[in-house]
Amino acid sequence: MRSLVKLLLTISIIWMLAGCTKTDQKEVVIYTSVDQVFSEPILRDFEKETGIKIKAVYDVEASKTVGLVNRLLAEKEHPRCDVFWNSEVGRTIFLKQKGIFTPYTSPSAKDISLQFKDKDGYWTGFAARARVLVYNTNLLKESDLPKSIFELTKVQWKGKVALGYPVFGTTATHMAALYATLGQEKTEEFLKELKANKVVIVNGNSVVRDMVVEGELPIGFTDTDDVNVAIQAGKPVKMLYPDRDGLGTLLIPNTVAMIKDSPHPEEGKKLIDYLLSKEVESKLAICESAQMPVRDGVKTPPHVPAFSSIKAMDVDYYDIAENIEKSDRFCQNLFIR
Amino acid sequence: MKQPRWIQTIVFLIFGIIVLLPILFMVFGSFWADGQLSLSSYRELLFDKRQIGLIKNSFGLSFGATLLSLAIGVPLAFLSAKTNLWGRKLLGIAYLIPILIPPYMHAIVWTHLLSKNGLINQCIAQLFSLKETPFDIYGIPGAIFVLTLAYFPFVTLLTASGLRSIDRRMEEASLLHHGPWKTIKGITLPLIAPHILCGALFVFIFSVINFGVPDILRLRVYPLEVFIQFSAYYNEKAAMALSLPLVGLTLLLVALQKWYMKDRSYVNLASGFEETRLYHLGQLQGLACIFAFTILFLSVVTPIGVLLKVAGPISTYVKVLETSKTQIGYSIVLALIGGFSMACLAFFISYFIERTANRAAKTVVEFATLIPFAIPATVLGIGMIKVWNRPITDVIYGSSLIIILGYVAHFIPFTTRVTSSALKQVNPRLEEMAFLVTANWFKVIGKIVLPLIRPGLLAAFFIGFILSVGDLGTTLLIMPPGKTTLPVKIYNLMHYGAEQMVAALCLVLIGIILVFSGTFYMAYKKVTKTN
Repeated sequence: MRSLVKLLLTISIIWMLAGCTKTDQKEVVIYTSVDQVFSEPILRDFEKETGIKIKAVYDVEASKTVGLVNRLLAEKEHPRCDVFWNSEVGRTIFLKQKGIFTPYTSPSAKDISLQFKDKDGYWTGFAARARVLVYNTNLLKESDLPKSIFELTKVQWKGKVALGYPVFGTTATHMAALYATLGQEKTEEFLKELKANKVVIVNGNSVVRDMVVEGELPIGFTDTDDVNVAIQAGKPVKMLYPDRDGLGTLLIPNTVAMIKDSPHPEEGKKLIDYLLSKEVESKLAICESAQMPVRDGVKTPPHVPAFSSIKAMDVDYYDIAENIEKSDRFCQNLFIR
Repeated sequence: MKQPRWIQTIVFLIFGIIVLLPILFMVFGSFWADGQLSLSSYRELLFDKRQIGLIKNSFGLSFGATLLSLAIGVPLAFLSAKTNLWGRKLLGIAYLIPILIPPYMHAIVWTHLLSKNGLINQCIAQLFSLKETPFDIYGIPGAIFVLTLAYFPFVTLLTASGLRSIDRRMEEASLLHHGPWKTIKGITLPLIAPHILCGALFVFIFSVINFGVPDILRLRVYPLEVFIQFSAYYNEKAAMALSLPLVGLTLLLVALQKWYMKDRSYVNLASGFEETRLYHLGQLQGLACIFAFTILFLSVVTPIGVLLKVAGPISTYVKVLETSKTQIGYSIVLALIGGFSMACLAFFISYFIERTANRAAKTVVEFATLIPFAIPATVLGIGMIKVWNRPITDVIYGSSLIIILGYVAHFIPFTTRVTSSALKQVNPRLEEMAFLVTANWFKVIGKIVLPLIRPGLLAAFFIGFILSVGDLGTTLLIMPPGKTTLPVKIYNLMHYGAEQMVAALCLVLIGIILVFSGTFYMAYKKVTKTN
């Protein structure tokens, strides 16, 4: 017993000493909600190219960016982080409104269109995902497929559609985008009809994908990266870009922003320049998450559609941000019971 | 003889700063808006039909899981610690495996077997050519089943540690006049009531705050409301407000428990110094074996089997070890230090609670240690940032120390309950006698008290360690940049859809903890023998 106590004490002391030693090496702190499997290789490449050490905190979408956003808010008085790399855009706008960021216009983002940028330079968007439908190829024929998400309220889809909690993550962003484009009345009508048609609410987009992969349900709402991982793994699923002749598909870009009063501003800027380069967009397109570049002239593999070939939903991200609380409240009352 | 003043002061300072301060920050913050006192955060606490419905689900789930865990956990502890059951040594270790598997993994495993397309459902449906599949894992009964399998070992662990400390002479005295059944009912069980109730409380609290399992089983529960405040509205004050009913409920349950045990004595005169008395099962041997091994089959063999099948070939394990060895090492070292610190702090606090003559102080301290029980991990994490993220405390917040403090703040109620139950069994007269010989408090504690409550201390350390290894919510908020703990890694892989890797990682973790516990146990045996 006593020797064990001694051992543990020694370990803790060494640990504490190791924690105190500071080196002069340049470093930069990044919080990212992009899956570690995709973001880490890119950050490692940055380390190799610049010699600046990256200290990252990875969030998981299973916790719906809850950790990082709440952490950034709580650390506001004494920021620890330099760069926030968000896998979507809604929370970035929210944090901007809370005064977490400082503007930085990166030279790398010159050719990214205004649609994907904050006009005051508080954040910049790149490499987008899209909200799509995932379906099981063993259960549905091409001819059965819906053309529009609004067909999913019809009786033949009763109890067959999976949807992530519409108050979290990109699903919430999607619903708020409907509020922004269709208006409150029509969107709420649609949501009520979905509910009446026994849509299956599950925990997140990856669960939607898994259920469709396993054939428990034939179709569901999810993001392109989630479907792509399954397609690359050879599972019997495909993705469907709905509403090509109507509303269009919601594009959700990655966003990157500089934290106000951050500890390493110079290194932070370098990292932002790097992340916004065409090279990184290309890497994000080539990796399994298959994200779509938001500008031309980026090398992509054949399965990643060109930005211009998609009918993107015509919506301002600030409109989405304005609608998100309203949409969340309605969905919470409708679905969380 | 009281604890020396200076020790009390240090212990309460540590406890106050690490555990209470972050929580107080959040509680007061929730009553504060725009620079003045306000109840605006409490507007979310509607108790409308919808929220009542969620609360009903949560209660049904937690009571169900607690009762079922008692029904399984207490007999199992009894069989493994107090009878001549075949394979009791194996049982005595194997029953702990379910708590090494994260609860959401139990849930995932059972959805593989008992969902509409699940293996068992399909087999039975085909065998008896049924139209409908017989089981449905989704819903309250399924969730009760899964939570019980995940948490019953807490009841067993605590009950068994109580049973090991019982004075055999009490049982023997009773056995002179009565049969074994009457002795068990009238002597053995009442003597370990604090332990059983403590285990039941753990299961209830874990079930009522658990969010992952109901989520996978598509059951909407009250903690979801708290979670929505964070993740949809980023309103930590409302989240705090919404979690106060859970805190209140916990305190109420503990108050009930104390009222029930009021004025009874649980002291054992010679606890822990003799071999425990074993009951002979006789004809019941077969029945008892079937019971014990059915439970093990459901809670250990099944999940491990499914995990093994999902993980697939050896190469997965190699890959997992290669990519995650740093995180595994990091998590285990942190959790060891966390468990150890918690057991130490818990001992000193419990000693104060159980030995002070001041009833008011006793009650205040006891309830203070219970507050973190039902505080959501994210609330605690935010509170910790507010307390520790300052230039002066940079050494702590900027290093791994903050994670250890997080573990201690989050899980100290559990370890304190365990050490308190253990101390209740020790007769204070023993210490008083020892003080006639020496005035050195440490000597008395080291030579008399610690050896007597060794099983309880070990249980506290083990529980602290296990809870720390699995912590996600608090860690995620305070983890220093550049570090990753194992649960964070596992969640990352889960989202990525790397089911194989997740399964392999869980199995590797179980393996490491088993090997570690085994070595620890042997070392412990050796040390106690030489003493």
